[in-house]
Amino acid sequence: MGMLGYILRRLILLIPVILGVTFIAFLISFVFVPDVARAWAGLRASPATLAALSQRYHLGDPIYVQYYYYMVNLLTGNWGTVPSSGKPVISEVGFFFPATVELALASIVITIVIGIPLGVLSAMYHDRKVDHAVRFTYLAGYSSPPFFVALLVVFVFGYVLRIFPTQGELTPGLAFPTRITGMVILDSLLTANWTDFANSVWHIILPASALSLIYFGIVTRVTRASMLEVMQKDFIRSALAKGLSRRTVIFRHALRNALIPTTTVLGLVLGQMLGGAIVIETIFQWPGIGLYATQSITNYDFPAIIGITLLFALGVVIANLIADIAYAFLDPRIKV
Amino acid sequence: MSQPLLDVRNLTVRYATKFREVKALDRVNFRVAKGEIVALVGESACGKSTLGLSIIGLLPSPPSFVDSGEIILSGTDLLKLRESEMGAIRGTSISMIFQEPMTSLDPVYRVGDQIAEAIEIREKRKPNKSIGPYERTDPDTKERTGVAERMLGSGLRRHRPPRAYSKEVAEALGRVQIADPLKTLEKYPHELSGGMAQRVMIAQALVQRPTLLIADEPTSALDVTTQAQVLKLMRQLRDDIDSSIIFITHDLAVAAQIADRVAVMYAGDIVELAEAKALFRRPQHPYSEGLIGSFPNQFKDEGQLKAIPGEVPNLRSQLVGCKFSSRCGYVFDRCKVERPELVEAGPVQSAACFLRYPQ
Amino acid sequence: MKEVLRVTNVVKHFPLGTGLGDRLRGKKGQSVHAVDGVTFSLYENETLGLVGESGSGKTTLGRAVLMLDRPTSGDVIFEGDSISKMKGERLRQIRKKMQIVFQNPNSSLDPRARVKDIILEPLRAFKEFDKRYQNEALLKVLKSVNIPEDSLMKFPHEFSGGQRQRIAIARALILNPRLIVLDEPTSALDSSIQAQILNLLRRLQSELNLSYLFITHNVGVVKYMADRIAVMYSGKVVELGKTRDLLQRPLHPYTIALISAVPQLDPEKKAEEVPLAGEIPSAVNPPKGCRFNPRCPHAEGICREEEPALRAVGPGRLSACHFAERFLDAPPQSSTTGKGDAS
Repeated sequence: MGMLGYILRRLILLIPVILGVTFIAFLISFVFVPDVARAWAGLRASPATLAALSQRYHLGDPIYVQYYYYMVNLLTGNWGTVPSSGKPVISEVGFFFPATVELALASIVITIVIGIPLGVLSAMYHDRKVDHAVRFTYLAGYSSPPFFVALLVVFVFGYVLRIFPTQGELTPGLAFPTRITGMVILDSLLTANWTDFANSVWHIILPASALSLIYFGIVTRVTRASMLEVMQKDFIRSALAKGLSRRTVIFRHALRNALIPTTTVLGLVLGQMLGGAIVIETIFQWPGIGLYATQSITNYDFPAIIGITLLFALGVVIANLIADIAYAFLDPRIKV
Repeated sequence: MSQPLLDVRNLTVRYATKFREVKALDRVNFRVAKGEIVALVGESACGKSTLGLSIIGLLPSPPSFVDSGEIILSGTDLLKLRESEMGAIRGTSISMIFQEPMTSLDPVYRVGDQIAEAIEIREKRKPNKSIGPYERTDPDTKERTGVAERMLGSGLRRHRPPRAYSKEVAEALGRVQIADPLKTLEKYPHELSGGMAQRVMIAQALVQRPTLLIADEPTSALDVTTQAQVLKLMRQLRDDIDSSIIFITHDLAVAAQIADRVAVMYAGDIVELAEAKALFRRPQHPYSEGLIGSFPNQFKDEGQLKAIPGEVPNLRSQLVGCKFSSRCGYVFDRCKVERPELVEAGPVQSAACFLRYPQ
Repeated sequence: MKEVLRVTNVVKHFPLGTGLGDRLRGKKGQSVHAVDGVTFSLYENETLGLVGESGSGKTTLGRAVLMLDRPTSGDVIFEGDSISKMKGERLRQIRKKMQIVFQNPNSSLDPRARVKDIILEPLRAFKEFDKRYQNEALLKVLKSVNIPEDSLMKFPHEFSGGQRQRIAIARALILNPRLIVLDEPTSALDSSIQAQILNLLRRLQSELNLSYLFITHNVGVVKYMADRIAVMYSGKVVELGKTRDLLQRPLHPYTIALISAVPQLDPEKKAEEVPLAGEIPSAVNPPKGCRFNPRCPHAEGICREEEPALRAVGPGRLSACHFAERFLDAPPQSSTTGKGDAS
């Protein structure tokens, strides 16, 4: 069947997961809520609005009917209306999501670039000073609250050293590039808008780094453990017996095998980043759904929150799919 | 021996455990001539694998440490070399194959690529293939690794040796009796059987043409019919490229079939060293005698197998005298206090036993 | 002689999972044909050697006979009772009389249990034995296998491989079985220890009137232990006969190849010709006709079409080869003697 078949099979397996997630979201938003109509229409809705909404969402009908209309609405893109702005949830959420994706991708790149080499280093010099130093750093990053890390980064690089900007995607005053994907860096690249490109890259560095500082520890630790395990394997000994230098053996043979578990972890981390950037986005005023989530929660915009939750879930699921596919590329023993 | 290829002198290797230190090898003396096949025979913990690993410098250290001795290959003491210098002679001067062929190959690379890698190594060393005046720096470490590669360790691009080597790889696979060489070189290790994998390992050794090949129980994990095939291949290897082979095994019959000379080891000592024919006809050490007698052999008349009483001594305890004395049927007082050295016990035989000492 | 075990046409297939795609396309499930129709008998006080290489099915057969992996089809009759359909308590009671000793003494003993508990466990599993009986049985069995009493409170890791295997044998003996399946019991041991264990097993057999199904890949060992030998290849028995006869004059090409592949302890006799090329056949898709035909130097047309049955080719000799008779006149393979020919 090949790689395509493998991807297809994985996508099909996504369906039950998505069904499960949407069902739970349904339970939260239609069943467990005390006053469904008011939750969806907004706290300050008039009785007329409430009545109209009840009608539209069939709130008087039995649960399974409500579920039916809920699924239909979901699939047709009708995710409800945001009470505070009056706009449809899907367009609001769709507007902010690309920025989060952009941030997560940038962050994962930085995590890979720091995390994996540090993991290799820790394994090569395990139980020595280098190992302890690395461990200290990532534990510090992981155990600190995200807002602390973010604020620290802002303080050091934005305030004291003043190298990087700390707010938003672009310097205010610069026009946004034409919106193709919604990701400013990508859009400016596609439209050959070099000023915007340079500027947006400069802006993403701090928030992406802050985000990676929190998560790179897991990657480093898994890489280290995996490397240590692989180095004990028979084929490493045989590779050395063949006459390869220790260095070549580590980078050509050991690491490639050791990366296999690391890839799984990276998938998990990417999923976390897609969902957990709320604090980072708020502090850096990054216009992603993390920021939007904070706003919605403050405004008690229930429909928006549900929409964001669904999107987070989708993001995690897709991140894992990507990890699975990468895994199949790396390990020929996986049946494709 | 006129000018031995390998001369191991007084090698002592210590294995450090939590409580005590154990002598895995105790002042071992051992030589290998050019083009000969020597079998190292013994039971578990006798030190045969340790000896093999010490020669090629792959002894895991810690927990093992070389305390003293010399390992001289063509005039150079290998123990005095740095790791990079040792690396420069592995593969082409000394090579080693191991017991489990399935796990001896990298699971994420194709089999053909791994053999080609061996050719690559050989080609890079062309001018300084044999040990002697060699370059101080390992040519391998000079290879440029790109930034991306260094970061992700070839995670992006798999190292593929030049296609030019494919022909030689296919040829090598053919010489080790692999049925469909072109198809096999595209396969991954997990797609091969044990016998095929071990033949791939031999093919790798073939292309590198090592002067000395150490084979650590290469057939112990294989079926007897596959073993017969592999033994034939190894003899062919010696004939084709004039390698010397150190064949480590616990199976006496295999040693009888493949070796010119046999070294019998017990608890870290070489207790007998003899030409194969002489050893099996008339063993000169009580342990060799006992070992041969306890071997179920289908073509010898036997009533009861003669088991050697007792167990291999716990190497942790400080042993005084001959290490075999506790199980020896011929033991006398001197054996318990003094350690016997290897003395001549025949024209082509020597044994470490007081029985063979000149009276 | 009393028949202890009769195995008739035992088949054991392990189904491989069928993917959804294959199932949709109507492809039937594939399975690993580990054992494909084996028939033999085992008599009182006898050792039947089951010889084969990897993929022959010998281990699976040993387990199937004890109902550890219930056969897919076929019948197993133990002391006159058919046990292949037995379940529950009835089968449990029969199990007292059939025991097994495994290959790896390191993994067959619970590392966290004391020796005393390991050996008593089978007795304790049946509630009918009181403490006094247990202790007596324990001491008796310890003496049989030469394990000192002070070992009882120790753990397996405190013993050597040979001693651990003795403990495993003690465990198998404590219920006074009639039949013991020994699955490569000495393959993981050093040769000098192997000899001790083999001698022990022989002594126990004559003392306690046991029957052994001795599974091994080692021809030398099976010659020393077995009265009769069954040679297995790719899930089938290809030859069966008395040890001495079979080893001296094998009547199946595979047996011939197997025996000539065994390295001899005499350097003067070097095997010049490699007896067998090729690889073992797929267990999922065995070759059509005789399973050995792709590698057989004597194969002819019929071998590729028709599977040969295991048939009598002389007194007490069975062979599954269309041309077994050809080998009747072959010269004997050197001087071979086996069990029972004491010097």
